[in-house]
Amino acid sequence: MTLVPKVDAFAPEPKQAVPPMERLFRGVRKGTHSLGLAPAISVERAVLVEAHQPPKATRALSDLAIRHAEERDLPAVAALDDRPLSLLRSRLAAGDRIYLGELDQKVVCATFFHPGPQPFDEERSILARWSLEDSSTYWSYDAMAPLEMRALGVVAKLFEVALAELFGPDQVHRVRGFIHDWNRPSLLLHHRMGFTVIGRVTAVGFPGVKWVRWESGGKARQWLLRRNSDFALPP
Amino acid sequence: MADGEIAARVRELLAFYSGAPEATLRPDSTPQNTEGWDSLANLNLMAALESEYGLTIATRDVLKLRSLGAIAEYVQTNAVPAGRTG
Repeated sequence: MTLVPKVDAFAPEPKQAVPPMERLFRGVRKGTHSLGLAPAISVERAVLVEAHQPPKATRALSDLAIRHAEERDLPAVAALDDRPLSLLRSRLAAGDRIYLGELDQKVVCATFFHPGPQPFDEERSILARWSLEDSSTYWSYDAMAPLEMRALGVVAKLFEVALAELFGPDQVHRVRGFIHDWNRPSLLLHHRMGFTVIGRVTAVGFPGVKWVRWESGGKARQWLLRRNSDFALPP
Repeated sequence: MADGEIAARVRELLAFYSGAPEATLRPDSTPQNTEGWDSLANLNLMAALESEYGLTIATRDVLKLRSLGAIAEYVQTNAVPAGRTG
């Protein structure tokens, strides 16, 4: 095996002095959550990523049984992180694909994919809707696993198998997703799974209205919108 | 392969997949105290060990491998002798 230096261009910048405006942004975001103002008042920033091919397959954790979830699996999936069962039912009913991983017939992880062309809507009031060109474009969202299982790599394995199926037999051309900018482990995982950054979004919401800023390819655009507008990103 | 060689190879692989400097890795290194030893680094490490040492590491076993020393010991105990790997 030849060891080559790991590419880490996707990783957030190395630790350095945080500019005053960034400190203010982080402080306000933390404050809205700790004071219970969110989601009425929200301050969020996220990175939009996409992949066009599956990651390299690994052999490890081969005893993790991975398959599509069905209606009967939803209570076990919901129990992974106390997610409302009704939410998962509505996702499945909307045609979203749920992959789960089982160990000794016990569900230990799950992740979700929403097919286009219908936009992914769940962050509509906080950030924006997420546009998808057609049925060969999927929106990747949510990964659930108990902390001790997550550390083993079960979510990474689940993601690897799901992407192999989507890009392989299902002939999907593009998988997109967004990651909160504070979620460094997820940013790194996506990078190492072959995802690239296509843009960044900042959104500040107040009751009834939100300000959205989109940065991509060195250019920035911004909008003032109703909280539940039909506006979708990328523009 | 001698035990020391296996331990050194496990450390080298972990350094590669985690990005942590090899010199900083010790038998008591864990994902909690090692920068970059995240879930994907762990998955890749296990895959590399399976491939190099002819192992099939069950997820239940991975749960118990909580340190670099424990992983090296597991490989030393379970590695398929050279020439029999498939």
